[in-house]
Amino acid sequence: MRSLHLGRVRRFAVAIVVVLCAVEITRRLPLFNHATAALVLVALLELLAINVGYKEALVAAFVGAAALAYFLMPPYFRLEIVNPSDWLEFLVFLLVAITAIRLSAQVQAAAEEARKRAEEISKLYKLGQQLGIGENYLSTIERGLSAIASIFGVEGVAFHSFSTREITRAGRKGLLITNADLRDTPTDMVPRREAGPVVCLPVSGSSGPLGTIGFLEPPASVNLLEAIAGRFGTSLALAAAQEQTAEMAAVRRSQELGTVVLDSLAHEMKTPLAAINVAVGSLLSKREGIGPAHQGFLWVIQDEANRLNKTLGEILQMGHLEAGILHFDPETRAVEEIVASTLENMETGLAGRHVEIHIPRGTPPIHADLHLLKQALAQLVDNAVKYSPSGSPVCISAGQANGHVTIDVADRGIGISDSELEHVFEKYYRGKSAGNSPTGLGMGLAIARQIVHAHGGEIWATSSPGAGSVFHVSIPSSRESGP
Amino acid sequence: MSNEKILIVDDDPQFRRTMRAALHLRGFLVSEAESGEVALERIREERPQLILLDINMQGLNGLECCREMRAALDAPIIMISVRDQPRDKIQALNSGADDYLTKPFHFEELVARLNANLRRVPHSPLEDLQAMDLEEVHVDFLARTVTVKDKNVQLTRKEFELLSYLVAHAGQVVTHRKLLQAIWGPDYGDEAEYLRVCVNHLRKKIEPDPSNPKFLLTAVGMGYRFVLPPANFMSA
Repeated sequence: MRSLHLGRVRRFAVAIVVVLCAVEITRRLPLFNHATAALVLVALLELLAINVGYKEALVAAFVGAAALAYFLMPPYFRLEIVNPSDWLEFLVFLLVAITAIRLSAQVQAAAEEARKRAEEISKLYKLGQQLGIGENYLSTIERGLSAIASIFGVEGVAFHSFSTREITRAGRKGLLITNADLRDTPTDMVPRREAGPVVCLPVSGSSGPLGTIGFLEPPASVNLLEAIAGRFGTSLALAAAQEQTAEMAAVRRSQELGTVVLDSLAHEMKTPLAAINVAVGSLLSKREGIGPAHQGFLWVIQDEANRLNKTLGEILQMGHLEAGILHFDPETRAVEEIVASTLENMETGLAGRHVEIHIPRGTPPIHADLHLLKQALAQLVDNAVKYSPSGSPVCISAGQANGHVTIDVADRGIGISDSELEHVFEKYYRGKSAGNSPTGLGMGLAIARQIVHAHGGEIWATSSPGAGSVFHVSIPSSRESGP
Repeated sequence: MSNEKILIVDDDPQFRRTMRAALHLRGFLVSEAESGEVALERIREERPQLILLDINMQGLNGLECCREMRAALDAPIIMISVRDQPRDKIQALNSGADDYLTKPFHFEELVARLNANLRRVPHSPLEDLQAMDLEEVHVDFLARTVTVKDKNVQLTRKEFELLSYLVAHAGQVVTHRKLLQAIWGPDYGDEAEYLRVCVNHLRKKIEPDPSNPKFLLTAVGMGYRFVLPPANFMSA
């Protein structure tokens, strides 16, 4: 601040000295009278106003007026004017000088403003050129901030991204912008310039707010900062859109790859199993020449091939479900029909159990892929049969709540302990109560869960050990449902 | 011993070898093709009575091959695939396949399917109906021909059998299972998509507006029903 003060004093001194010199020179030249001196002074003051400063020129004008009265108007060497025409001249001089100074100062200010505008526009243009899209969203942020810092000479600039929840800084003093500065900024378009040295502005793209940008002691107007934030927001929105497109393409590629891998796995493993089945089936149908022991072996081969096929089927289906590449063919069907059709398809799996069905009238239909949903329900019924004493009934009931239809499958079996309930839907999980009987990978319930989730539904189990378990499936009811 | 000619199309040599040996033991005459292209040549030379066609093959795939075969001959085609989704079955049937078997299948199941598809003459349920008119469609059950606006329309064997069966039970809802067992054979019953595809094709041929059927109606979740225009209650 001291140097500025000194500079200012110097400028005042220069202005005053120039005016006094002019008065002195005109006084000594016989050609000049006080009227010509006043004209010369007005011209000089105008130059001072343009080149030195408005205030300096004003002070010099008063000093000049005083010098005019002192040196050039009678009585000489006294700060006094007696002649009325001199008075008039003196006042006209002051009026003209002040008006001229003010006008030239205004012209000067307008020119300065125009220059600054032009500079800002060229800087914004340069920013637009440098705000390219980086390899990803984060690199676009980094690139943008360092461009802003270098082009606008900001010592610190920082951006808080809403999507990544991260703060990125640039500039020599970027770290001076605190997290709180950025996070406290509301997202409406009102810039904040409070006591602190940081100005924060919201950054938005076409799709909405993207984050907050903070400038440390910005040497620019709020309008310019808004323009910077606007350009920055546009480049971020573009980068986000590009990243999203790239991600979608990657997902599609990986799904395509998944389909190819699972399809060839299925083909490569099921074709040999088919050959084994055909060979064994053919031998089993031609009984001559094969002893009972060897026939037993053939049955073992056939059973084990079946088991391999079942396990393979579970792995493949889980793979399809997890990769999101299972094809859905949903249709709207009544719950009664889905349940009846499930049971019809699994007659042998019911092991002669009695199945009680309670589906209240008015249960809305559901929109589901029948093939898959029936598979999930069959798994629950199969479980109920497997884990309850033979002869005990299995109960299937339905209900509705909050736009969902629930289908419950209950058994009167041994039940599941609380600690096990959390895990029954996990892949490869084998119930302790199952003893050593079950075969397969333990994927049935995990697949059922994936199927239900794929329908936007939920699946869970409740149990009271000793009294039986209930598996609940909740699926959004169809919008086409009747009253 | 049946001595029917069967062509096996599959790119896995071991699978072909096993199938050939096992079917030979059952009295079938079996020939092989390792690709769709070879199969198309074989059917011209050998005129097989049934084709077992794998979907997943290098080069000309099973579905394309099936379409070309269907254009060239009338023999039943059983599609074989490792996929078991209804969508895959519908795709195969729409390409002209008559049946669909999922690998791995049991040998006896295969033999039952072969016999069902080779069964040439269906038991005709039509005793008192010789012909019928559905607006501009004329069906002659004795000559097994259909004409629309005096133009001959080709119905596949299954389509004709389905039409005959439904007309014989006109007015009643015939369940999926019953229809499948009557037309495909006693081992069938769960293949509702077979019916869906066949009914769709049939509707395109005989209904004035196939998406809004007037004669061949769907009983949702149950089966199908044929509505005969009253003028047709004429008997032989």
